[in-house]
Amino acid sequence: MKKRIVVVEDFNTSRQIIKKTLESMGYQVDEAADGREAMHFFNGNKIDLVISDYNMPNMDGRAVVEYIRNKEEYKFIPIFMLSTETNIDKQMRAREAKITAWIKKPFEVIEFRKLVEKVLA
Amino acid sequence: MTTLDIDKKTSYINLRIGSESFAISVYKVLEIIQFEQLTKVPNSSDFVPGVLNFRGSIVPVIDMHKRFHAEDCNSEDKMVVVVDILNKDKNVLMGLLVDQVTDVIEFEYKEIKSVPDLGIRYNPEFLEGFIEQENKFIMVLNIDRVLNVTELAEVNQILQE
Amino acid sequence: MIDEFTNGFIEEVRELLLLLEDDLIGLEKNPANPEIINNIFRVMHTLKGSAGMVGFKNIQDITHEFESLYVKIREGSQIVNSDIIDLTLKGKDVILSMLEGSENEEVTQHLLFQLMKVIGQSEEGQTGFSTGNNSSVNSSSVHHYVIFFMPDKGIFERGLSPDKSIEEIKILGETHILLHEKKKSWEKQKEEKICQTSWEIYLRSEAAFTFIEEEVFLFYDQEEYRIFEINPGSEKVDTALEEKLGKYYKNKVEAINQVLGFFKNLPEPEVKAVQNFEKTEPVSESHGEIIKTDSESTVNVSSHKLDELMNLVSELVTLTATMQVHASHIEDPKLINTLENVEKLTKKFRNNALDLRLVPVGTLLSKFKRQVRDLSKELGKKVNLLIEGQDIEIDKTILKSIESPLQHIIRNSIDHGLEPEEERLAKGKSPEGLLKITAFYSGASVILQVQDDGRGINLERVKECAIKKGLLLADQVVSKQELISMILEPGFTTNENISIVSGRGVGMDVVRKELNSVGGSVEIFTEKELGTSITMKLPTTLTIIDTLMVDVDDTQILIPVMDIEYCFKESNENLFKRDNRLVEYKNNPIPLISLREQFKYPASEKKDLMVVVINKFDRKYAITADHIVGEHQAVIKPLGDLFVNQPYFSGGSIMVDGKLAFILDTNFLFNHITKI
Repeated sequence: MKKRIVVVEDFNTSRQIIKKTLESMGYQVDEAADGREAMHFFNGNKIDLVISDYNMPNMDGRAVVEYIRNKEEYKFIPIFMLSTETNIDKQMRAREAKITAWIKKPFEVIEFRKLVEKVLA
Repeated sequence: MTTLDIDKKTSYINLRIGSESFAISVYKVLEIIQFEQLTKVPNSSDFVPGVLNFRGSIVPVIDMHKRFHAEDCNSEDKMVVVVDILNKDKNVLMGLLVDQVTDVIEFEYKEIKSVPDLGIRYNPEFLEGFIEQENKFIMVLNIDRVLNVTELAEVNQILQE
Repeated sequence: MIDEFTNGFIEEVRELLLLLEDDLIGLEKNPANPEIINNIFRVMHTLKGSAGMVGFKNIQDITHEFESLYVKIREGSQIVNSDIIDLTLKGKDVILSMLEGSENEEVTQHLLFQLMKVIGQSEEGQTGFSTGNNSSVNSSSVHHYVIFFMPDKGIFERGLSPDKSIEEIKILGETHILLHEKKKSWEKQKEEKICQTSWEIYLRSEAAFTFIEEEVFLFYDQEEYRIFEINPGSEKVDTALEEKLGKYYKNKVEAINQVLGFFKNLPEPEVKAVQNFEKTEPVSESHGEIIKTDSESTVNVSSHKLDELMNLVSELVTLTATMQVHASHIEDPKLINTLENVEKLTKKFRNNALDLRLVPVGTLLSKFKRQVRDLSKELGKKVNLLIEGQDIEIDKTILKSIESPLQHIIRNSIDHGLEPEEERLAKGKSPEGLLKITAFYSGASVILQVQDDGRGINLERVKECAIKKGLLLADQVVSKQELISMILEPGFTTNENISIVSGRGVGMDVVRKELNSVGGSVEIFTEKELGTSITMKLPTTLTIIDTLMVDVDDTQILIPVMDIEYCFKESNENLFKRDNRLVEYKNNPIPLISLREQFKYPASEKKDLMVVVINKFDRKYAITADHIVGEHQAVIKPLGDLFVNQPYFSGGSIMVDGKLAFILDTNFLFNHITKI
């Protein structure tokens, strides 16, 4: 069974790059352009990782995390948040945000792969 | 500023087996040597005409004509392509006996077209796909699957009995 | 290049550089302060990473050099002095100038040059190399760490599991772990997904500090872990560590002694029951045994280096043989004499090199103590484990390859062989099952035996299964040993058989194959209700053996000298005039194998053939060949997975002329023949 990753990112090019990278690693990817679209995936199916952008229209990254953590089945799944802020300290720490890790944009593909593999091991 | 390898051109070695052309990724190939006398292993099948000494290791040579049921024109100038493949998380060396190594070609990964189900003589599992170059079709081999060691060992044994 | 990334980057760097300057001034007053050193390292590390992404390669390069320097300082191979402080302050200036686009190339070059000098001096010939198996090793020394792991309460809600990280630490080396559980047991906490436990971990590992920090604690906040590296030889510990320990233990001095004492000798594995106190009472779990060796007189050698050495020795052996071939054509007595001496020396050299590869079996067997403990818990059976012969030495490679078979066998013993407590008591046996692992020498081999006093193998069921599988005819008379050996047949044991054969069997054919691949063999003995014993016979050395070379048509065959009892010439006619393949030897008929026939070559037209009498594991048989060519010191090369199923050869060897010869598997050949 392939592991399933939900990618939430409004900028299409970025979303496609992330999706292609993850698919080439052997994962199944569900994509959404914003939080609202993403909500559809959290309907009881098994999800192994969520990668979401922070700044998005309609429903931003924080709201997505709120939503996910309030659902019984998804309360403890790993979540990566993408952010363009170069100084991560300015934002909430990962633990306050209830996510597994922040990923700085733009990211090096090799690093990104490592993080994904590690959290899904 | 993301770096992704999908668009990079990759090099492939173009081989001729029988009347068809096949391509193997250059990164899997260790060396290409002239076909020398091999040492035949007693009781092995025709599949494996023998083994040779490559940089101090014993490397089995697979007759690709037999693997692909191709016509063997018995040319004198055969070549052995030594490849490094992945078998159950281990790196294994093998030699491929082919008719000719013609050239090195380059194409992008995305140019590889998938193999249609119909009209193909070879097991589609062996192929990544095919590409078209100068009006010729070249089959791109998934060399790890072609030389699946477990499968070959079994075939080797069955043909002995 | 001005874009949104670069602006943010410039801001960030300016802030970092200000902090860096503060830190450097602080370091000047406290040259050994590990916190400051670590901070400076982090700054360089962070800068290196971000600079690369934004395109400031010059900053990336220089911070890379500084990062290396501060790694050395952190590891203790470089001391902080005023030169270092000056250098780093200059570095800060240079980085700032690069940032603002006002870099002076000459100044940069000069700084880099000075940096390289400093870094070069602290290298002192210590070359970093990897063992090949583990990329986390970048120095040949062993480190001792005390790690405090204090995940935040809501750790689970970040998609993380502390147990995973603990596992990652355990595989880095030998560990001793203490749990400090608040309020409830860790198990309970895991159920409720609230973490109120912290871990106190003692780790002895070759892994570098940076590796642990960056790999194991990748997703954790800096407040959630503290890593201290200590020097076990010293009397005191770092004040920071002292403070930390003070938080967990009332008596600091005792705590410090505990820390130092731990690394001197690891306690036996023992799990104390968890006690629910408000103030933490540590629960200890010990993992990994340290075999007590005299630390002054032993050296840790990486497998990689040993393998290289062996390759060189093998090449030398081959070269000496080549020289001798050439020398025999030149009849110069002085040369021949010298060569004889060279050969003697090479043999000595070879034996020494082979000896380096020998390790005591105990290193592997002790690992199993832990496995047995876990298994006995998992399967709910009490096991009394006895291990004997820990000092018996065996080749490193062979040791590695028997680990998996041994695990199989031990698991089978506990799972199927040993009965549960009640059953044992009902039978009048002791409540604990006995599992005994012994190692001893026998001739040129090492014997490893695993015995249990359980049910024994149910031979009735084995017979049923064999009949079902078509390996046996329903009314066929078969001896007990023959029945037992069927368990080793491939295809005999499949999942469906587990329920039928309640004794040994799962994976035994794999075990035998794995053992055969290193020149070993396995035998099983069993008695109903008394128990089962599995005996593995292993060669002590692997790589080079003395052989006798014979030829069979065009093929060259090598027979291990130690398996040969006798050779003689006999006429072709006499040997094969009867249909039975037997030959008389010392007034007894023994099986005769014509290699030509086996290899499906046409029969020999020679008048006489050479007969070699082989004695392997007390089984005698003879093989025929065309000629005996001579003695050959063979460097064993594996034939590869492709030929793993054939019964004739245990490996190959490269001759002086580059041709290949095959090493006869004297054990397997006999088994193969007697089946026909």
